[in-house]
Amino acid sequence: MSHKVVLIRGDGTGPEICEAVLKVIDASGVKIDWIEAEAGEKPLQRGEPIVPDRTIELIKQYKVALKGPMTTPIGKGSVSANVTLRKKLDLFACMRPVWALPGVPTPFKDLDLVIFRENTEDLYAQIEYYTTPDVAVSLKIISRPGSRRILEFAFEWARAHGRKRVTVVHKANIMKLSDGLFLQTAREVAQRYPEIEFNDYIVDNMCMQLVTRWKNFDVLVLPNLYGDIISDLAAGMMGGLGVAPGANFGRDCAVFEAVHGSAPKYAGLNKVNPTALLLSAVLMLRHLKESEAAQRIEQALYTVLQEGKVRTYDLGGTAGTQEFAHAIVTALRSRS
Amino acid sequence: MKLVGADVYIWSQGIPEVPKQVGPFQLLFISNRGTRVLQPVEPKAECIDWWRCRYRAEREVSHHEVHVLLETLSQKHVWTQAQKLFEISGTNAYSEPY
Repeated sequence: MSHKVVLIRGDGTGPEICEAVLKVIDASGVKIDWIEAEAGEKPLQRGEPIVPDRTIELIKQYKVALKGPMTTPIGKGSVSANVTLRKKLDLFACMRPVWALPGVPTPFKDLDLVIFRENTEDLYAQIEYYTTPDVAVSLKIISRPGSRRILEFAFEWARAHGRKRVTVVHKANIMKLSDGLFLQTAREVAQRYPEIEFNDYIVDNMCMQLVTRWKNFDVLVLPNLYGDIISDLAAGMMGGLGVAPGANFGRDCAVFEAVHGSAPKYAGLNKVNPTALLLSAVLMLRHLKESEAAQRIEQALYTVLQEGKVRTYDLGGTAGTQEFAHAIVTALRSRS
Repeated sequence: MKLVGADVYIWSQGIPEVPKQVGPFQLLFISNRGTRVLQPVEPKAECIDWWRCRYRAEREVSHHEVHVLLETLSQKHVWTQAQKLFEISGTNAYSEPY
């Protein structure tokens, strides 16, 4: 059976990373018809929205997308392509698993966390005003339904994957109403999952605990802004954004993406590590019920990382993006 | 600061049926948690019961005209928050929806 998946190659180094990942998926034997779509700088330069309506409609139609990194314009006049996709497709649950990869140096031995970030509200509603020439305000929106659906998603995932503990992260000691609502909803949802241990941490304490007692944590659930920050901290613990995968889920659609930026200064240099997008594609294959192929790709990647002969610059090597992908393909074929 | 409109946040179980024109103001969009849901209508979006209705005028308006807008909307709707929209040096001093 052939799957249909929307492919957004992205900006900067995105196209070359996508090329590498597509080679590996193809070598796994999984048949995918890639439906090409655009978002990011190219449509913006043509005067179109950063995520054209056609791209949104294609993802709604085919339900699954794989997305390379995109450039987020800074300052006035434009919005983030990534946030636009999440908002327009109502991809409310961002999943960022982090674990100690074989062969990737990290001081965080046995790291194994799954982070769920609420994706559609909080300060990311991006509702901002100047109320006087010297005062700007931004609305932080936390709703009971918005909190409930991400919490239920995380608890359901934890239950389905045999995870033991869910930790909710907040700042309800200061934002007693907004973060307080998130925490209160978490306590209510947690009661329906008695087999899963539940606790909560204030976000600043969470930062310290993560880098000192990371083994105490299993599944984390956070409102949007804290989730953005903590998931990058955790990616660093894993070995950097170059190896950290991500997925965004809505009720109907899912978008799998590398969480790092588009690294435009390396564009076209065949230099960057495609591992993050490859592991995102592994998540995608599991979502498509291609778990066996996902497992084989993961193992082939681990083999290459552990052998250490072919490494990209971020892991201390000199191999290019395509050379690294070729090594994974070779490992994949040698195992089959 | 040039006053040009208002965002009026309405408490409603569905997309509120607010007037498209009130005095000098035109309804530009309705959004939910920052995402445009009208126009066009986004039937699949899961929405909360708090809707932002953006009313914008083509010219500078008075504070009294904003009060009239709120009074007009109050006849059929419950608004819980409103924010005046300004331009500063010809630039909109407010964000746009997704």
